[in-house]
Amino acid sequence: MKSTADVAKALNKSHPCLFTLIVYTQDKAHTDLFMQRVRTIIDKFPCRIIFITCDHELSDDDLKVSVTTEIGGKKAGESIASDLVRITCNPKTQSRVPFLILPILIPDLPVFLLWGQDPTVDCDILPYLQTFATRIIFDSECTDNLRVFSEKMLARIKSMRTELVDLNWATLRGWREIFSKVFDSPDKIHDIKNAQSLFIHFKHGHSADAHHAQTAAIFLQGWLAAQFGWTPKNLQTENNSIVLSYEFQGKPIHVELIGREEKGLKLGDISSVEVITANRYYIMQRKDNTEQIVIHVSTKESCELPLVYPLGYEQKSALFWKEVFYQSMSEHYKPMLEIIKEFDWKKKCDL
Amino acid sequence: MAMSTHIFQNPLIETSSSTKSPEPCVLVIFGATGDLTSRKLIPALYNLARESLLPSHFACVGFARRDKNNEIFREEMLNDINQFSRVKPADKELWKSFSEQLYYHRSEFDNDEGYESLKTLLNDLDQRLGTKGNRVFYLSVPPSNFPGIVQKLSQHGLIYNADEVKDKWSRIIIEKPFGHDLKSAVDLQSELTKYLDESQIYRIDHYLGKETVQNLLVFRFSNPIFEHTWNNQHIDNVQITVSEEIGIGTRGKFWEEAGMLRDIIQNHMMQLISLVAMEPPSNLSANSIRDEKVKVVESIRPIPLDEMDQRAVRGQYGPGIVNGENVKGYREEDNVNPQSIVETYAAFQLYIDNWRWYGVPFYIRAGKRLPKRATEIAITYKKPPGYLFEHCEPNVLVLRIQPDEGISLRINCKVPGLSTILTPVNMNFKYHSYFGSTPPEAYERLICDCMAGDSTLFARDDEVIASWRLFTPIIEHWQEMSPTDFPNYASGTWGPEQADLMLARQHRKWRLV
Repeated sequence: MKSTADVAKALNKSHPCLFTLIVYTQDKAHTDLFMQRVRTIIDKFPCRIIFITCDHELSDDDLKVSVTTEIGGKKAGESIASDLVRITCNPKTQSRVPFLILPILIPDLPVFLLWGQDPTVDCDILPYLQTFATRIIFDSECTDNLRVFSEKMLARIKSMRTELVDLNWATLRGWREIFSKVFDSPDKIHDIKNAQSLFIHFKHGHSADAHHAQTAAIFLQGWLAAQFGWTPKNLQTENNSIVLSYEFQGKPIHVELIGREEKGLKLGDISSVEVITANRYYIMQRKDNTEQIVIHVSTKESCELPLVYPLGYEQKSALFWKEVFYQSMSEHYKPMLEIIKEFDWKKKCDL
Repeated sequence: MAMSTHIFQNPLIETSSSTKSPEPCVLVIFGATGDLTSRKLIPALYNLARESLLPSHFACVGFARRDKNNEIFREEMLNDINQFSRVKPADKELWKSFSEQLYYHRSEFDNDEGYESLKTLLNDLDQRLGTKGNRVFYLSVPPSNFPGIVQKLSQHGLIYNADEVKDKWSRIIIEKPFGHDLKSAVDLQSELTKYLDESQIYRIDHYLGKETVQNLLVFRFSNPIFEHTWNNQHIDNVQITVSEEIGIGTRGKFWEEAGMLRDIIQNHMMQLISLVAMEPPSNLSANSIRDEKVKVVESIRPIPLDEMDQRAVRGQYGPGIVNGENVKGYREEDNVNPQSIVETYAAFQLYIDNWRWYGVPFYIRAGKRLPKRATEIAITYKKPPGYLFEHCEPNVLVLRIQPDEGISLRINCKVPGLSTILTPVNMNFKYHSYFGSTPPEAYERLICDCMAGDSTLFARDDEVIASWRLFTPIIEHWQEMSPTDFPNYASGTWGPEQADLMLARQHRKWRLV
């Protein structure tokens, strides 16, 4: 398609639409990953997707546009129609993209910007795209510099009126809910607040999409530290582990994030969490690498009956995307970032 | 007794979450071998488990007379989920953990030993599963059993005095009918409140659990464009229809005692009227909302005796054709008296005497064996002054509760061409097109709310009493004056002629649904 008019004509079909979603990626790995996510979204929400890829290998004057109508919801026996506008540009033609998409944003409905690159790396087009968005979605797993990410996000939260969402944080919602259900009494909260050790196991490795597998685990422990007022002390790596130390009321807390081979899980998925306190031992573990979490709590004298709880908020689920698109930022996110920015992750955490 | 005012606030719970947090509890279902449990309650619990909305510490005990054990009960519930759940078949892994929370307790409803052994079981579950002594008792039994069961529960310490016991709670859920007239409703309330505080009583009206009914509040109070015209200055009439194409099926015995007024009008219909007509609440607390709903019911002008025949119409279906098939009349149905005078259709012309609605007729109708299944609220606006455009249709806002859930607005539009001809067109929003077709079932929301202690979507005692106060004189009049023309509408038609006349007298007619 050559012109804005062509694009508009191709989009001139009437079907329900909940929002416009602008996605931006550059390298192939991120493009593939985010296109997978787009397919999940199309399957669940009628919307208009504008997928922008900045391809450095595209020739100088090239800017490619295609428009298709995607049909989702087939598994559920439904028919959800979404527009998919794919724009491929290069760094030179990228500046034309905002002009191209402005006329095709759907009026009066939310516009979400899903940023598929490292949010700590400056990109010329981001400020332009930001102005359209009612909600900006970053993925902290895309960055290897969590300290800078935290600082930038905190600055954005302070200065921007636009809603900000972190995909990785949304994924952790399931684990956070499980924690709130396991530690659901003053006694147990006191227990974990004064924990001696915390071990988080996750699936480690390197992938084509260059995602950083340890980010979810880092955030989870950061959240606990923030909620309980643990003071960050030290960070180091040992083999496939990240070891952190905190202090609470003069007592040390040992936190270890252990990457290991895990069949059946995606990179970065947390497989189990152990909490050792003076009084109890807690383990929350995926059952056979499924979305079911088995919870065992025991003291020196006795064991409680195990509980099983569904994890929820898996990235293929409508529940996860509802969280991303419709929920306000959790009041726990900012304090968690404040903890994360205390550590120098980039230098110390290349697992 | 000194009462602790310390409330535990879990630092791990995010208050920004709009999802409720039901508390650990045991749900005991009385009448667990009945239809409601298999078709609605267990599938609802399963779907709550699927969406991580059950409490972390939870168990469900089925209490009934039939001879079963845990394993048989669980197997039957699995079959029911595979048949009736909105998401099926049951996920194997999830079912494994969910089924371990299901128990069966065999007893008669009046057996003291049965209650003592239930107490032992519940205490054991508290110990093992951490359900903290919190109890929900779902009485899925005939209303005549309510007082006896509640008395036994109290006698055996299974329900707690809400004023004295603060570290755990007990609630009961009861299904309609809440009495069969004003006196019986008041009597039932007196019986229940001997042992329970009103805050412990959750009266289910499953209409309130429907997404489209919950949307009434959101629609009205988040869209000022409509709220500013939601009054007698702009609205000509309101029509509410609850129409079913099916007959009474195998429920002849029940229907002979109930009738349409008791089954639909006194409860579901009144919920719809109060949500449509209420004033904005001061906040979204349960009592603020219910206070406004009660005010609506209390403002409805009672129908004077001399206007009963014109403004209160009843009907009974005769043989006819529905969905292309011949169907029998009500009096030919099983367990129905061949001379029955029970109504399967009822329609009323009501007025709400307050500043907002004075003079606006509310036409309500509910019936069986009508041409199609539909529940909708149609707000017809006043016509514009006719001096600019002739043949101008009034705007109609329709809130479709079920099926084809959605909202439409009829507006006038110029037909393209050289002359100015107007035609009505519909602006249409359909839930299915935007949100897919598997929203949560009403019972999922309602059970979750009860476990979370939120009574917003449950009927309060004064709502129920006010509704019975309005309709009991009509019931008594109808009992006194036997109808001589039953059956008075053929199955597959829109009801008796008198219902059309009721509107025709005011130069109106029923909207085609």
